[in-house]
Order: sequence, then structure tokens, then C-alpha cells
Amino acid sequence: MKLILRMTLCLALVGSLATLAGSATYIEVTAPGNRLLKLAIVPPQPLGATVQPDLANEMAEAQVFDLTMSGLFTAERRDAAPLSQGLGLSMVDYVPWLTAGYDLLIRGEYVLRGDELTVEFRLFDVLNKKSLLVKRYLGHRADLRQFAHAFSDEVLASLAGEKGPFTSRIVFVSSQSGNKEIFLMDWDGHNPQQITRSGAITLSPDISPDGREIIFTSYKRGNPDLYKRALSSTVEVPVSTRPGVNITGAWSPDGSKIALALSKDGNTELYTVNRDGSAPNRLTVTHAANLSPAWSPDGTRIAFVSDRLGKPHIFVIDANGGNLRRLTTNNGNNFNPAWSPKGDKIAYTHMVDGFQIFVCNIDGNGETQLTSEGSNERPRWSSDGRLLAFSSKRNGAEAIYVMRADGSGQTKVSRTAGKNIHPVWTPRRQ
Amino acid sequence: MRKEFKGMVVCLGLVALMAAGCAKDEVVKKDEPVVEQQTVKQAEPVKQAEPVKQAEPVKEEPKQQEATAAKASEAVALETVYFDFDKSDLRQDARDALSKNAEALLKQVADAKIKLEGHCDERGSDEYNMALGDRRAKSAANYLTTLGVKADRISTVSYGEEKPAVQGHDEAAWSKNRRAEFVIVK
Amino acid sequence: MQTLQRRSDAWLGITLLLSAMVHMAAFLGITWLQGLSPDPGQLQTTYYVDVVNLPVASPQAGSPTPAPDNTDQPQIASAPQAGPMMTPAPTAASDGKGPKSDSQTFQERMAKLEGKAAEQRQSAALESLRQKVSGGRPGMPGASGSQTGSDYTAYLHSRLKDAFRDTIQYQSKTPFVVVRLTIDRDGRVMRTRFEQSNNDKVFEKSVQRAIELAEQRIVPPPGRTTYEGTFVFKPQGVLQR
Repeated sequence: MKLILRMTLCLALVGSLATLAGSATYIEVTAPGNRLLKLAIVPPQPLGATVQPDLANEMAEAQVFDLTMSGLFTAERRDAAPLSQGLGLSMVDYVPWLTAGYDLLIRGEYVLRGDELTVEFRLFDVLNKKSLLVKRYLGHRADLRQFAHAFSDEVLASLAGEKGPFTSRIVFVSSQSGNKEIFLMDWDGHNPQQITRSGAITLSPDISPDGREIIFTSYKRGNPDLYKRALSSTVEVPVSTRPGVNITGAWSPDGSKIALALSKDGNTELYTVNRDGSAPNRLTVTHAANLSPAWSPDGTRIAFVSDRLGKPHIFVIDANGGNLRRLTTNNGNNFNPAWSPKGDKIAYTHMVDGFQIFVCNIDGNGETQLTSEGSNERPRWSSDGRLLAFSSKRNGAEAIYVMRADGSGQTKVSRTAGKNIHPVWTPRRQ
Repeated sequence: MRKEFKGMVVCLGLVALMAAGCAKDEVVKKDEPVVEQQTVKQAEPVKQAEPVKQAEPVKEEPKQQEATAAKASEAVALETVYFDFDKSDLRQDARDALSKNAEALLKQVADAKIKLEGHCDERGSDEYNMALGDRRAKSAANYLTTLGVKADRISTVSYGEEKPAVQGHDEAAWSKNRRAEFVIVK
Repeated sequence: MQTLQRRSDAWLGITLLLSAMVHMAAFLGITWLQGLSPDPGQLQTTYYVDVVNLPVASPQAGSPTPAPDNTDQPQIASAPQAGPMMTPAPTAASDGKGPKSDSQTFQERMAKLEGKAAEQRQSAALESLRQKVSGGRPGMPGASGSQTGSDYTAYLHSRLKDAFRDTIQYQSKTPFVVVRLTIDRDGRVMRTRFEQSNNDKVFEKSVQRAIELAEQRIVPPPGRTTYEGTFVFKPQGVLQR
């Protein structure tokens, strides 16, 4: 017995020595530091008779904001003489851009005929003196920001291997119209539009994975009930109108289920229901409050808030109710968990100097504070996990802010009046 | 051989002890010193608020559309009940107020149905406060039923922090917003 | 191993436990060491290089002839010093000399080569001695010492390193990419195969851009043959893999 054990150990030792000797030469190429690529964005030049500098500048500014927020570039708007032969036929002279220290260049061209707008954008690698990306967009004048964002998405796809989130929009709650209603805006705050007009308190929106439907809690019948509606429609369908609260609905990643908190049986417990509200399946059994479910991207687990230990903490449970464990180990008062789309992080709100936004790994380690100015709540990840939207009370009323996932670049984006809270990213538009 | 086994048992025991020590640490953290302090402080402002509050439901009643159709006897003053921060259990003053309310509900307006609205102060996440308001309303409702008010006369609704009674961002305002209000619905 | 005999000694259990722990530690230590160096799949191919005509980083690094039992010994994989190698100018000379070499110049070069080889053997011996003294860890990347690759590898390395300085970008903590480069007889990058990566797409892209940038300036491999080599890209000071 002992002999065998020893021999196994010796063999293992010899074996690992042998593999060590087998590991061969390789050449290491290193460079210092992490570069922030310098990107020049030239407003698209007119092709044809209609010259509209405002239009060109607006597209360039939208891209500067998008690509600066991506965290991969320092993007600057730079004016340059138009290419005489147009974008398609001219040779781009890289030398001035190279000497000015730029790594990348975006140029474009637009045609405006009446209301019809065609834009072509090109991304150039100044260093390697070649074109990396060409995209043409056809539509209407009102789409111009969408065109700019769509190209920003593609720039990230080309240089970071995954499309950016810049064609996403943000669903949120605003009290601009007097009471809290659901609104929708571009991710950078432009083009806000009101969705619900119930005249009653409306809260906690979430969007379906296909980006077509929203669920939300509304008091329009006196009780906090969960409703569903398509963004393109005005029909609001009750999903859960059980006695007590029907709150914090969260769509599962495959769109088939909704996790929510119900207090029909006494205290507030976590349930999953089908997307029409049927077949409730209770996940938690406590004498405490359990709410704010956040699905893992693979749909197998749910992070949620529970005060079963006294103060509210974030817990994680399997989507079928098993395997419960506590995530946060700080002194309590943690809310609004949000699971990152890559599945590796959970962002949440922790009460310390007001509310602040934190992230931790899914094993609860690596807790990092991202915000410190004012009071900040309810983080939500963009589709690529690069950005977080949240609500902040730092300069007057609560507004929607965005930041990079490391907490840098915190910028107010909402332009609607009143309180603006509960941001949720829509999937990017295809 | 036996000694060897003993050694292994001891080792295993040590490892188990270490693991247990770690686990215990996590479970124990659940005390709330903050709330304890506030309980003491809040006793006064809340008492002061009550006389003011008593008059209010009378004034508000015309606003309640359901109430206009009801009998004149419903102009009874049902006291609002107040809570401590992040708590839904009833303080002594809350029990006293509920006893008075129960008496009124059993004698003066014996046929009225009531709705208990649970509210919170603005601290805490708004979603969590929905659950807390729900708990407060239900806690008051349960106490009323123990005092003899029939459960089918009482309904509850939580408004979380959405309908503060007093605007303001200090303890004076917050203490008046952590409440369960009575509304006569029929 | 030879004294293995069954005895019912009371201490045997304890010694066994101790020995198991020591072996385990050694095993883990070695696997850790091994983990430091990625498995490049295949051995670095060594090419014959005309030492006289090619630019040389340092005389030591010029030996294209590894010992036959080379593969059995732990090698020192090192980044050769980027020095005078960086100038591509001498290659023009190589192009010019190639065709007009007659038997006499060949003799001369052979003599020079032999001299070099003797010198190299000596310095290799010295180097191995120095290693023993300093206790250098075999298999450690980036250790200084004798590079057994070809000079063209060293030349490429310095080109890539220059280019990488301008493109390096990453979004993970410890990015790395193992790339197998195939360069055709005209000095064009024929194939770029990413053999291993920590999946940092931004880093992969920056490596790709560095290779493209380097390609603009590289000269063809010696003897107009196809060159193949494996390179590991990572940020400076990153110690994983």
C-alpha cells in the first residue's frame, strides 16, 4: 500500500521532470504599458450639393463620446480638408496624421437629398496605412445619430472583437411628466421619449432579451402589480396582480421566464413565473424580504436581495431554488444586484456615505467601490459589459449616469427633467 | 498503523476546525447598532407628531372618493402608526394607537372596511422599501386582528417611499414618513 | 528506492506522511515552474544561418548549431538583446554578396565559421558554468544567456518588439498571445497563427497590428527559405505563463 503510494509519487516527480525538459524555446516579445490609441474623427464631408456642417458635426461628436467611453481610445474631433476625389477614390495621406501622433482615423461622407440621408464611414489604421472598415448607412435625417452609433459599434467589433453597446438605448423611470413613468432614450441621452402614460406610479422596468417588450410595476389599479407591454404598442397586459406586492420583475436571459418578488403569502418572497405570469414557482422560504432578482447570463442562477440575516445582503440561488449562498460579506445594506453579461462580476449598491456602486466577483471576493460622489444607485450593465448605467443624486435631482466598468468616465446622460432613475440597457439594435 | 491513523484524524480535525471557524464568522454578522440608537432618539419627535397627525386623516377624508359615499360616522380619527428605521415591529406607542383604532373600528364604524398603507422614509433602496412598507402594513393589520377586528375588513398596500407624508431629508421628516396609514374604503 | 522493505515501524506512518508532503511540494513546485512557460507545441526550428553575412546581436547568440542532445536539456529561452540588430542595412550587403561568392571566399567564410564555432563552444561552456553558479532556473523565460535560435529569429524579434511598442493595448490583467509566424522567402508574413491566448481580443488585435507593422520593414529570411518561429507576446513585467 505504502509502496504503491511512494512509487506513484516518484513516478509523478519523474514525469513532471521529463515534461519540463521537453518544454522548448520560445521568443518573448514584450512592450511597456498599455496604450490608449489616439483616434481622430473627421466630420463626414458632403458629397453632392447639400452641405450641412451641423449634421456632420453631430455625427462626429456622437462618435467621439461613444469611442471615448469605450475606454480603448482617446477620441478627438479633428477638422481636415475634404478629400478632393471623395472618400472612395482619394488616397488618404497618412503622414500628417502619423506625425500628429494618431493611430487611427475615421472619415466619412454623406449625401442628403430632401429627408433621405446616406452616410459612409471608414476607419483607417494610420500606423499600418490601411483601411480597416467601411460601412454605409441609408435612412432618414432623423437617423443620423443612429448611423454614427452603429459605426462606433463596428469600430469596437473591429478593434476589440466585440460590437460596442452604442446602438443600445436606455429604458428608465422619469418624473418629468409629474408622476413616475417609463421613458426610453439613446444610450447617450439623446432622443428621449415617454413610453407609459398611466398617471400612476410606475417603477422598475426591465426589457425582454429581444428588446421588444418591457415589464414594469405600476399602481394604476391601486396595487403594485406587474405589467407587460411591447415598446411599439400602448396595450399594457397584466402579468401578475396577486395580492400584496408584485415587484422587481426580471426577464430571464432566454425570455421564457420572469423572476419577481411577491408577498401574496405574507412576506416578500422570490418567484419565477412564465412570461404570461402563470405557473409561479417559489424560490425562497423565509420570514424576511427577498427581492430584486438578477439572472446570471446563462440563466442558471439568480442574485437577489434578502434581509434574512437582519440587514439586506446579496444572495445567489439556483434558478430552481437550490444551492443558496450569501454573496456580500460587508456590513450589510446591499441592494440592486446586476450580473455582468460575461458572468464574471456582480454590480450592486451598498449603503456607505449615502449609496455607492460596488462590484465583486461572483464568489463575493474582490469587492471594489466604483462611485464616491453624491449618492448612486442601481447599476446596470451594457450588453458588452464595458459600461454601467446608474442613477445618481450628485447635482440636484436624480439623473441617469454612465461610466466604464472600472468606474472611470462618470457622465450624466439623461436630459429629461425631474427624477430619473431605474436605468436598464436595451440590447443593441441589429 | 494505528498511530498513523491517529495522526491523520488529528490533521483532519484541525482542518475541519479551521473551516468551521471561517464559516461562523459569516453567519454572526447581523446586529444593527444603528437602529438601536435611533429607537432612543426617535421617541420624542414621533410623540410630538401625533397630535398633528390626528387631525390630518379628518381633513384628508374628503379627498378619498370612496369615503364621500360613506356614512358620517366614518369621520372617525384613525391614528397613523409609526415605525423605527428598517423595522416593521410595533413600538409601544404604535400598539397604543392601534388599540384606539381597533376600538373605533369595533364600535364607531363597525361596518367599515379599511385599507392599511405601508410607507417608508427615503433611505434604503426604493425596491427594498416596497417590501418594507408591505411588512409594516401587514404588521399593523395583524395586530388589529388580534384585537378583534375581522381580517376580511382589512386590506393592505405598500407604497414604499413613493408617498412621503413630509418632504425633507432629515430624521424629523424621515420619522414621520415611516408609517402605516388607515384609509376607510367602504 | 532500493531500501523499500515492509517494516512495522511505528515511525513509518509519520515519515510516510512527511515524504508525501515533500514529494507533493516538489511536484507542485515543478508543475508551477512548468506553468510559467507556455508549451509552444513544437520545438523552435533552428535554421542554418550565414554568420558572416547576417547582422549579429552578440557573438554568443549567433550559434545556429545546438548540441545533438539539446532537446533533453533544459534550455534557456531568452529574449536576445536588441542592439545593433535593429538596423536592416547590413542585409543589403548580404543580397549583394550572395551571387558572387566563389570558392575562395567560401573557404574564407568556412574558416571564419570554424573560428566562431570554437569561440562559441568556449563561451557556451563558460555560460553553463555561470548558470550553475548563479543557480539560474532552467526553462525560465526571459533569462539572460545563450539564445539557441537563429539570428533571423533575433532580427525578427527586435522588429516585432519595436512595432509592438506602438500598438500594445489590452483589457485583461495578464494578457498573452503565442503566435506562430511563417515568413515566406520574400519576407512577407505568409501565415500568422494564434496558438494560445488568454482571449483578450484587444490584445490579440494589437499583436496583429504589431506584426503587420513589423512586416513593412523586415527583410527576407536567409537563403531565401521559408521561416517559421513561435513568439510569445505579453506586456513587460507581466509574469504569468
